[in-house]
Amino acid sequence: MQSTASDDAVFGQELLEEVDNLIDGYLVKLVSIQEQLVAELNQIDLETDKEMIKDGELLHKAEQSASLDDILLKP
Amino acid sequence: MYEVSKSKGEVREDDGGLVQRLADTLHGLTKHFGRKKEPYDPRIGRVVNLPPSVLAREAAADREQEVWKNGGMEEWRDMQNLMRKGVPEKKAQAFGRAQEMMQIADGELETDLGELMRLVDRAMVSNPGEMKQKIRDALNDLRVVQGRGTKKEILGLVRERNFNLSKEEEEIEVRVELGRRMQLAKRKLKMLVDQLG
Repeated sequence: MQSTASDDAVFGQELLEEVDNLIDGYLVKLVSIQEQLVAELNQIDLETDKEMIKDGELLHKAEQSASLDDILLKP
Repeated sequence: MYEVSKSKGEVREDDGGLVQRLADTLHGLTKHFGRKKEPYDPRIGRVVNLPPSVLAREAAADREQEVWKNGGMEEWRDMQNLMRKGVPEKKAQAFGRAQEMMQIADGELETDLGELMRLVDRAMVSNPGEMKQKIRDALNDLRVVQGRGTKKEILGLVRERNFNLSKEEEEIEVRVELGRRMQLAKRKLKMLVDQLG
């Protein structure tokens, strides 16, 4: 049986809603993955910086109490 | 639904700015993965001159290296470099994980759109109509946009426009453009449905 205009309107509206949900859902997923990635990358930098600062401070302390050769030659 | 921004007079899609938010994450990636080391411009067929700021930064790094060496601190410097060396690897792993998740999302969308298509086909068999056929065609356009061929084509366009993007940035640029095209295909479908009243 051929569909009527009203059948098509209901059908089209339902389909559009479905497509809207699918695509927006997909984009939300992508945005969330990307934002999480950038946060993770920033965290990697932060942790490395912290480690390096800690190393720098240790070295500075050692420099004040010993000669440079002592530090560098220490096993 | 589309709304016109009163301040700028621009028409923007009412998707909550999702495509724009995706595009914004590119800045975050540039900071971490940088650009290709030797910016080669295929249009002029040679390596592009690095900007003065980059040259100055490199010169400063060289000078710093020299100072450390002269001070007899190269061992410490090596240790620091070693620590830094692990960083790109960690970042590449993080990107790999994100890429995997994005591919899963791609696959899910592909499956869902396929299912929707089958639903439309079934509806057409039991209740055919010219308008339904048009709607089916619009939905099929959307599937084509999401397909692998389109991604390849977009990658070519992205590389033509920005020849020195890192592969990580390219991946996101492709998805941003894909998002834009999906919105466009959705808009076509909406226009069709609007005609039905």
